[in-house]
Amino acid sequence: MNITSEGSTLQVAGLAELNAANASAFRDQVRAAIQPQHVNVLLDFSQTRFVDSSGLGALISIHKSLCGRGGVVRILNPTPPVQQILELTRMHRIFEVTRS
Amino acid sequence: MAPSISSSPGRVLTLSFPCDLAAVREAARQFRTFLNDQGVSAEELDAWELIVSEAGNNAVEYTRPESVGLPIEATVWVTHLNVELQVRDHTPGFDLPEDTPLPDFEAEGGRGLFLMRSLSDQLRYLRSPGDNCLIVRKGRSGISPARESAGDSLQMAIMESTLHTLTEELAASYESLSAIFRFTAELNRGGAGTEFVDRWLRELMMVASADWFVLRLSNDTTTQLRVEGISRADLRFEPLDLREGQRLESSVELQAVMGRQDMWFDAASPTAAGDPLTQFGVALAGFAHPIYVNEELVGVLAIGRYASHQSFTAGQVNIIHTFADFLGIQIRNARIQEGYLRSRLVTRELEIAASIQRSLLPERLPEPPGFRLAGYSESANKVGGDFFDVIQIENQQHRGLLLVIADVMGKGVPAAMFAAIFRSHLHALISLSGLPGKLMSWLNRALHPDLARVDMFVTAQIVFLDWMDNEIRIASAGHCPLLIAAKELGIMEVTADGMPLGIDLQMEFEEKCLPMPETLRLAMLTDGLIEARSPEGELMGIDRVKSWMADSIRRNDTAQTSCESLVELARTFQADAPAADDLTLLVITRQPEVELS
Repeated sequence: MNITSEGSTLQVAGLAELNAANASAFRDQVRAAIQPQHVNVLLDFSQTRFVDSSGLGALISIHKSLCGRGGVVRILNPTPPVQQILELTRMHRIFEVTRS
Repeated sequence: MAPSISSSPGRVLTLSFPCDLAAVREAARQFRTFLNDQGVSAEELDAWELIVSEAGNNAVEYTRPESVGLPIEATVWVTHLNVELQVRDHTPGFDLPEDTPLPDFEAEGGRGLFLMRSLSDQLRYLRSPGDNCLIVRKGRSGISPARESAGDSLQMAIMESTLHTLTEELAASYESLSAIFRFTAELNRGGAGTEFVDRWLRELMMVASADWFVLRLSNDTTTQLRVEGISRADLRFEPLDLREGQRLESSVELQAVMGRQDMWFDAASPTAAGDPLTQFGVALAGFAHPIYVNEELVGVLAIGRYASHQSFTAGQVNIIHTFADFLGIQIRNARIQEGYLRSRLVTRELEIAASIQRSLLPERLPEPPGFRLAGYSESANKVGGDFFDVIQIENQQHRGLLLVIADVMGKGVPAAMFAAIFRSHLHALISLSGLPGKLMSWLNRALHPDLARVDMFVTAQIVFLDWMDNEIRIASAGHCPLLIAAKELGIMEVTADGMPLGIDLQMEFEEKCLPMPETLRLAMLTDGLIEARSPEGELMGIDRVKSWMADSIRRNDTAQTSCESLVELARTFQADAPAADDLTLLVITRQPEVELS
C-alpha cells in the first residue's frame, strides 16, 4: 500500500484487499498519515478486488476523522465487486465514488 | 496456517482452519476456486467469497476464550440448483433476528449479517451446547458453460464485469457531457430561465432513470427556498423557510441545505409524514442534494423514484451531482449578470435624475444694476435635494429680486423629485413673490399633501429684495439663518419663524422686514455647509462662516470670488472626509455707487 500526500489530499493506492485481517492496520496507517493540511482522502481502489464489512468499518472510521475538516473520502475506480458492496451498503451516499 | 481440506469429488468441500482472520481469508479464496470449478457464475463467486469471509470472521471474532485453540469447520455443498455453506463456530451463539436492517451510516460495524442476508436466499443459525452452525443457502442463477483453469476464469470474469460497469458508466458520462454541450449552446441564447431549468432537469430525469424531481432556489435574501422546477405540474409546494424556527425534521430538503450534504430516503429511512416530498408518494427512494456555488447557497434538488427499493447507483449519483452542480453554476452566473444589469440601470436612472436636477438650477443668474450674484450647488450623492432659484420680478405690484433656497429632506432620486415639484409650484405662484411669508404659506399648502404622504419635508428660505420700497423681506420654513453684512449692521444672522414645509398644512409663515442697506453682502446657505464636519468630527458651525464673510468684506471680494472662497473653505475643512450632505449657497452683493432706478 502506498500513501502519498498531494496538497490538501492524502492519496492511498496499491491495496489488494481490505478485509477483517488488515482493516485495523489500514485504518491506523491512514489515520496516522492524515496531517493538519489534509482535508480529503483519495482511495485508489483500482487494484482492490475485495472489501468486506470490516473494511467498510475502517473506511467509515477514516470518514469520521475527516468530518470535522469538512472533507470527504473519495473512492477512485473501484472494481465491480467492491462497487457492488459500496452500493449494497449504501456507502456510495457518504463516500464520493468517482472514475477517471 | 493452511486449512485442511476434505472434499467429495466435485460436489462438497470441507475446510478446517485455525481460529484466525487471515485463515478465514485463505479459506474464502479456496472456496471461491472450488465453486468456480463447479461452474458457479462470476457474480455468484464474488457473493460467496464475501459470505464465507463474513461468516468465518464472525466465528473467529466471537469464539469463547477457552475455544480459541479449536479449529473452525466450514463446508460448501454445490447442487445443480443451490449452493449451501455451513460454518461451525465455538462462540456463545446469538439469536438470529428475523430482520437485519442496515446500521446507521456512522456505525463502524454490524454490516456482516446484513451483507450475508442481502447476498443469499436463506440464512439460519442452529445453536447447540458444543458448537453452533450458521447455514447460508443461495439459488444458482446460471451455470458457466466453459470450464477454464481457475485463474483464467477468474481473470476473465473480472474483466467482463469491469467492462460491463465501465461501458455503463461511459454511456452515462457521454449522456451527461452531450447534454452539457447541447444546453450550453442554448444558454448563450436565452440564459438559465425557467424553461431551460425545466428541460435540463427532465433530461437528467431520463439519464438517471429517475421518476420525479423538484428544484428549489433560494431567494435574494436567502430566507426562503421556492420551487423553480418540478416534474409534476399538478403538485403545489409551499416555499421552505430557511430562518430559525422551521422544523428541520419535516423536510429532507431543509436538512440537506442546513447540513450541506446529501440526504437520502428509501424504504429503510422514509421521508417524515409532513415532508412536502410525500406529495410524490409515501414509498419513495432518492435524495436531496444541496447546491452551493462558492459557498453561496443556490438551491436544493430532490430527485427520486416511486419504488422505495430502487435506490440510485453510484454512477447515477455522480450524474445527478454533475447535472445539479452545473445548473447551480449557470443559475448563479445568471443572477450575477442580472445584478450587474440592474446596477447599470440604477446608475443610468441616477444620471437622468442628476441631469434633471441640474436643469432645475437657473442657467444664468440675473444681473440687475448694482447687484451681483453667484450660486453653487453640489450633491453628496449623484442626486440631491438642494435647490436654489433667482427670479427678477418686474410687474406692476412688485419690482425686485426673488431669491429662493430649499433643502428637501433626504438625498437621491426622491429628494430630487420633490425639488422639481417645489420649483414648479414656486413658478406657478410667482405673483406672490413680493410677499415671501404669503408665498411660503401657499407653497406649504401646495406641497403638504404630497410630502405628508411620504413622510418627507422641505426647509426653505425666500428673500425678496424690493427696490421699489428699498426693503429686504424674508420668510423661512425651518431653514438655517442667512447672513447679512452691511456697514450699518455689521455681520448678522437673520431668520424668520416657521416650520418646514409639509409639517403643518395651516401654517402661516412670518415675514421679516429689513431696510435695504447701501452696501450689502448676503449669503443664503443650506445645512450642508454649517453642519459639515472635519475628518476629526468637528462641526463647521455658523461662526466660521461669519469669519469667512468678514474676510470676504475685507478683501472686497466679488460675489463670484466670495462664493468660491466659501466652497473652498468647506472643502478644506472637510479635507478627505466624504461630504455627508449636499452643499448649496447663494451670495449676493450690492455696490453702493450704483443708483437704483
